[in-house]
Amino acid sequence: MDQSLHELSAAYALHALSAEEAAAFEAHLPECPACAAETADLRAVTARLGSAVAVDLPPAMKASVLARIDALTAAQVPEPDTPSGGPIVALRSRRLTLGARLTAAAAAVLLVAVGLLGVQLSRTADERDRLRASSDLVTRVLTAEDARRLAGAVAGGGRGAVVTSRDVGASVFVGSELTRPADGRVFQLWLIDASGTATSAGVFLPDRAGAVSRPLPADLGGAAAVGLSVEPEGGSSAPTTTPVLALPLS
Amino acid sequence: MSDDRASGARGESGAPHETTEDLLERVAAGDRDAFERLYDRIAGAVLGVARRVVVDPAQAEEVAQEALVEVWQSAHRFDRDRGRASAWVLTVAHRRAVDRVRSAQATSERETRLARLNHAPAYDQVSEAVEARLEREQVHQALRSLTELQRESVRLAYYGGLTHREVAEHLGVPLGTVKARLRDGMIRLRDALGVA
Repeated sequence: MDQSLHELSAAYALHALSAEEAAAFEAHLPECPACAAETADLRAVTARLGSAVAVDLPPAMKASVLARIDALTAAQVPEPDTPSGGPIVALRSRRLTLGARLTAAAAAVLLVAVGLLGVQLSRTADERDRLRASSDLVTRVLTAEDARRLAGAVAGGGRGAVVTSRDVGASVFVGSELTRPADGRVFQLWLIDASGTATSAGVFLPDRAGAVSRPLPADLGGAAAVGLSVEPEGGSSAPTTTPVLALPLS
Repeated sequence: MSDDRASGARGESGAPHETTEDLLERVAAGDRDAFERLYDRIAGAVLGVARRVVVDPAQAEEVAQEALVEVWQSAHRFDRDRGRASAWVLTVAHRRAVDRVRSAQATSERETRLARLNHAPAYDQVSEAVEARLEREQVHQALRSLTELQRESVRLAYYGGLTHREVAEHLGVPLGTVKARLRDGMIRLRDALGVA
């Protein structure tokens, strides 16, 4: 058994392998019952991770999905009288016995609908355009083609990053898994110049998940670094505690 | 297990003891009514997975719909000896979601998705059905039993749609470490959730 391949069961079950690695692992599976069994178990774990984020469905989605499968069914050519069809024919004939037989006209309408959906499938670029056009500055910076990101660990827990887009002409601070400061304390962002002088860039509290994303002053005021410290509610005029994060901007 | 609970939650549809495996096999035989019952049981998780990974709500719904259509078309490939039906369906959904974000992935888009990994976006209405809440609580509890590095690695890979290489880069730890933490983290989850 190839030990290096054997280690990949979890990454494979999580779709976290590159296409090449996944192909190598799949080739290995039939030869390795241990990997096959472990992969099946871990796939079941991923299913639980998926079930845990179940959402309420938009009411129209079911009709839309059913229309798509009906269109597929209607698009299948009925086989002529074959004596005893092979597996493929048998499958098709079962599909055609569905309650949902469509008239030719309805099928045509549905095929047009499927065609439109096909157009929608390739609209990632449009989607990006739409997001860009949104008035949300944070979204525009985070989705900018030229977005640059500087990140670091925050003392006390979590990570912070400054994302800058020259195209948008703005920067955003993004924090994740930040530990909420004690009552009466807040996080304060600082722009720190080359001489070490700090100017406030605003105070915030992360959400319950410890996340925050907020715009920073335009052009960052020529700052050399962005800092983060914990300050009394309302903020301070200069940091009064050791910064929990300092990100040099160059 | 999860399947039994899920079916209990949807007692109004289908026979009381119809497992998700039974449903998927009926779908493989072209049973459209069975597909509707399967949809009622699992589409909420399919859409939830797509929303987590893809983030953009319109694209996420498109991915979820494509995944459900693929379930209809490919159900004959399901083999109950090789795993649960819910795992099979959600694997289809997760793979499609991951394919979508990797296909046209500007780094900036990835940043957006990762920045939102910890947010509960306004549109992301988690299901408040009793069964869904129970499932969520169990999984969260199991996730809490992991070390931080195990949990972050699993979360970034599954909900963030990152490759293990990207997870390593994002967390600033060696790839070998991420491989090991993904595996021992997932095995710990398996044991905590009693999956097998």
